[in-house]
Amino acid sequence: MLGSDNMSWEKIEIRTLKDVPKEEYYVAGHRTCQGCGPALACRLIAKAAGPRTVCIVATGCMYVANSSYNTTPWAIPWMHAQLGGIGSAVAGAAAAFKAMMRKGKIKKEEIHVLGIAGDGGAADIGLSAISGAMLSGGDHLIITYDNESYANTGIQASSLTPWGAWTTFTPPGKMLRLGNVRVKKDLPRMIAAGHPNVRYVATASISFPFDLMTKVRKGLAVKGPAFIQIHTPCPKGWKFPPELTIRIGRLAVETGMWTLYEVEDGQFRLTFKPPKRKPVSEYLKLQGRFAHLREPDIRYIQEQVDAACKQLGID
Amino acid sequence: MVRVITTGTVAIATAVKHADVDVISAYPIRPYTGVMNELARMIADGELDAEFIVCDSEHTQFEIAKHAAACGARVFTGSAGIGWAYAHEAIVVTPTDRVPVVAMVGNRALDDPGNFGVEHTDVLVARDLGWMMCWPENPQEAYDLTLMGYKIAENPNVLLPYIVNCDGNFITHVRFPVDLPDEELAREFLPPTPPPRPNILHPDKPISIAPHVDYYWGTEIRRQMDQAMKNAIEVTKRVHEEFNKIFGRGGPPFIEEINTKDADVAMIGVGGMTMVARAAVRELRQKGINIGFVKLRRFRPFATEEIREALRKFKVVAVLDNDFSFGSAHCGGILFQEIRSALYDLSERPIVVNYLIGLGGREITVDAMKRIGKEIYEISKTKEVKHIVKWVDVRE
Amino acid sequence: MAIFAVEFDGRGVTQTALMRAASEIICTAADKDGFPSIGYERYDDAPDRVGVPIKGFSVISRTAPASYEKDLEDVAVDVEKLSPPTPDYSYYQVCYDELAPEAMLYEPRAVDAVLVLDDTLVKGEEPWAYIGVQPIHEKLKDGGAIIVNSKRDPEYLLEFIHPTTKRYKLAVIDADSMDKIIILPLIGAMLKVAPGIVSYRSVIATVKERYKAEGIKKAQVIKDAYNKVRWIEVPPAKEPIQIKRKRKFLEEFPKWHEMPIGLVVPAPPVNGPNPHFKTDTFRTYRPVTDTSKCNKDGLCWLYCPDSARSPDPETFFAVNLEYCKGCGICAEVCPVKAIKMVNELDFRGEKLW
Repeated sequence: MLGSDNMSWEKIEIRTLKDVPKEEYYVAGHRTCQGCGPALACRLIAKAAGPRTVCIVATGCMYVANSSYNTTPWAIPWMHAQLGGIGSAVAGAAAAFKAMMRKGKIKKEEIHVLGIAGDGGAADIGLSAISGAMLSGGDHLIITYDNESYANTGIQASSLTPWGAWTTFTPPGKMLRLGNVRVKKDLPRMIAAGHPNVRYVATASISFPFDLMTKVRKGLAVKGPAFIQIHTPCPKGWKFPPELTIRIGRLAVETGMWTLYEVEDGQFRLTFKPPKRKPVSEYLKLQGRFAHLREPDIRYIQEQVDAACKQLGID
Repeated sequence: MVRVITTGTVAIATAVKHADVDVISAYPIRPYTGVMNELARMIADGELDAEFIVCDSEHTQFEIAKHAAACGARVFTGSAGIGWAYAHEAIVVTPTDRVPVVAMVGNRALDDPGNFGVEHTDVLVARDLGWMMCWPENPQEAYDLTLMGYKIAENPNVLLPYIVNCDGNFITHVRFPVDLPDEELAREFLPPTPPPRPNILHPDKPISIAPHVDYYWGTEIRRQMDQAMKNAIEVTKRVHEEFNKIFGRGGPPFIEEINTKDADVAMIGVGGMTMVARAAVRELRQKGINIGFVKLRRFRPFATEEIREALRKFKVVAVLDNDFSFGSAHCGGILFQEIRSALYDLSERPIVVNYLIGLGGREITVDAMKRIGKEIYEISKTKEVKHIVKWVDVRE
Repeated sequence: MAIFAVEFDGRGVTQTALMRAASEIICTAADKDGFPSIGYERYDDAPDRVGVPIKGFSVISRTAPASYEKDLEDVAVDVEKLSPPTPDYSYYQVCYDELAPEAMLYEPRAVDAVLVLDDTLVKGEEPWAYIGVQPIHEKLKDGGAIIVNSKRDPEYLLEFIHPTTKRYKLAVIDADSMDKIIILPLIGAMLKVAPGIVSYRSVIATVKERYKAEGIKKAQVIKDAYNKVRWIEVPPAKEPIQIKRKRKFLEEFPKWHEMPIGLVVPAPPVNGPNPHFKTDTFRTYRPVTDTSKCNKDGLCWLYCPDSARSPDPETFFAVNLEYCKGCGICAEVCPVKAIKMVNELDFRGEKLW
């Protein structure tokens, strides 16, 4: 966060409803799906970040569905960036404010530089620019909302689409019955492992909103680049009724298919440990994108998740 | 042969299947994604045997296509709008590598801001590089021009990549009646294996493709490319003849004249607007206005002689550009610049004016075309041109 | 020669595939009648969002309407025994020439029938910003028909529909109880109430082909709906009404030199809302709070993706009905189950005009 050591937030940690700011900076009136996970993420991010924030959003659902048609729900300064450009966008904006403040061309005051991209924009086409931005050490926070597909173009596979999921590029068919056979890339740990200068990397979920908002503030407060990946269930792409968005996000964490952690100054720390991990089938069976999977496939997923959870220290 | 009611994207996917393509590189962007969805489904259902690579970006798509083609595979890829723009490093080198990549571009207005509506500027930005370019009027032509594309591109005297454009929404998403031939007939026209060529990577015949050069080599390399484009004109004509013979349709290779007999004036354009023009010209003729429409089926290679011969008989030609070239001569469109240039050498040449129409995907209506028709008919009488370039249906 | 068109109104994502199927069936039936057609979903409705109102169309060019008398004869025959039509394609090309320019429009200029898959849509559609609420009969020709998938009576539905100086038939068929492919009963009903667009025989032949092993069963659904549909004739209103939030396109939008430079759009006020894009027409259900059960924990406010609730516990986190999409998350997360989702059409007397 640039400009000032005095922040407009009273404190970083948001623990209860009382701590949650009442103001909306991502307001009502946008063309997102009923029950849109990424929309809730944007709302909570904007609440946590507050008005002293410049927000740049890459092409995707949170661009098109938010701004259709020539309108906007963002009550803070906002700009569109190209799909692969979120890293460059925040690097450029942060450098601009830094130089102008240092040289006295604008007042030295609190301005947060925030970039938001979907999983396609962050893990695929935008990976190189994000890596560059992480390495160059600018003062910005990049957040990716992970709805596990290119959703805005009608649900195509990204490198964050989980194994076994239906997408229109990986449809289960008469000959190829599994759907997506690529394994979900571990983007946050790639970023943490590959850029030792980055002081804050975290994962979050819209079903754990206080944790999410706290992490957004931590990411903005830390000096230098930060990265957060938020799990955002998507009724359209995952094929479930819109009222279940929060429940499914919760089940992802409770089954170990999504893990909540921080890497602060290189130290890995779980921020939530499910008391007794539920079987993955409870999460998978609610989503039409997995409906074609058979028992052996679910067992395979369970094995992979068990191994990953053991490694992360969840079990 | 089966008649279906389907979109340009599905028609093209069917042509790609009939062409027995080996490698497909996919990445989503509206409005072309439907072709990749259909190909993914065909492969998943066992209707097509091909490697389908889900890419991380358009640059990757076109690089994959280029190198798969360099190893001798038949390939297909595609994009639209700003995605096509992202791939430009790969797009620039594909023609000079002389590989017969066939790609679909779903024409879409370039960012910023995002806009899914049709504009042709996205593909026209690459017009100088050596890609062949064509525009179907409807999904039927999209099938035809794709199948022909492989044959033209793979001809040993051409070996240039080829684009099939499709107007965003109108040709990509609207379902039209399409006659799809049987696969056997398609394979009669286009055998599954491309003809041999000297620049394929294989251990049986080691070669180096594209070593670094200097000015001793550069000019000749360019002149070779130039010849390939010139050869493409004859090859295209022959392929059209063959296609016509086998399928009973396909039309003339470069231009189609619509209602131009005894016409004093004509409009010229590409793509779906032709459907509107047919109706506009028919209705104007009923009112005694002698007007025709010249449909440009292919823009690259630009058939200078054919276009000049077709247009010289008119007193006024209106070029309809669903594209723009900011700050260009007369601040006009791109087709306008080239068509004017093609007519320059005529001792008696038509008055050429330009209408920028349909920008950003705005509807091109019969009424708008009739207004243009009446205007240029007036010009043919008065010989007075008040504005060389006009913007149609802009709020001002 | 004339252009006939059918409009399909439904909810995004959950009903998109059904609408596409309906358009494909009508278009294929038109081909069996010997005439060309095109079909599409409205381009700017996509990407389709869960719940957003979307439209699909079939547009046909034919020399004369299909024969109503012939339809009545064919309906009397068992669907199994009804032979497919023998189309005469002599007029196909000249009709195609008339049809083709219609493909370059985003919507047909007018439609003969509107098939409504979700009856809450009779209140109108506002799928995009700036265009405003469109009455369900926006594109309907004078004398056309609206066919609604509903358990309610046409008289009841009429309360929710914008008055218009057009006259039309308002028909109802309980498609949900007849087949899960709800567009089949809707099409069957359309054949009775808005005859002539395509012939009954061609639709039966199309449906038999399309659904293969289940073809006869599905064709029977068409026939049953044909016989079951009930409707009322709606007389025209004396005067046109002022429709709330309706803006004409070219006249009211700003001119190029009136628009801010640099693609700039002013931000909404903090706390909002975004005045240009109301989302209430996304709703099939709305949340209703039982205030006696509410414990004011605020989770409904916290989890709303649309910022549609007040943060004030004294108002029981009152929902702003212009911006609630009816997703149901608040009802789902409420730990004391104080919120129920209630169908929009249970709330009478709210007029979008």
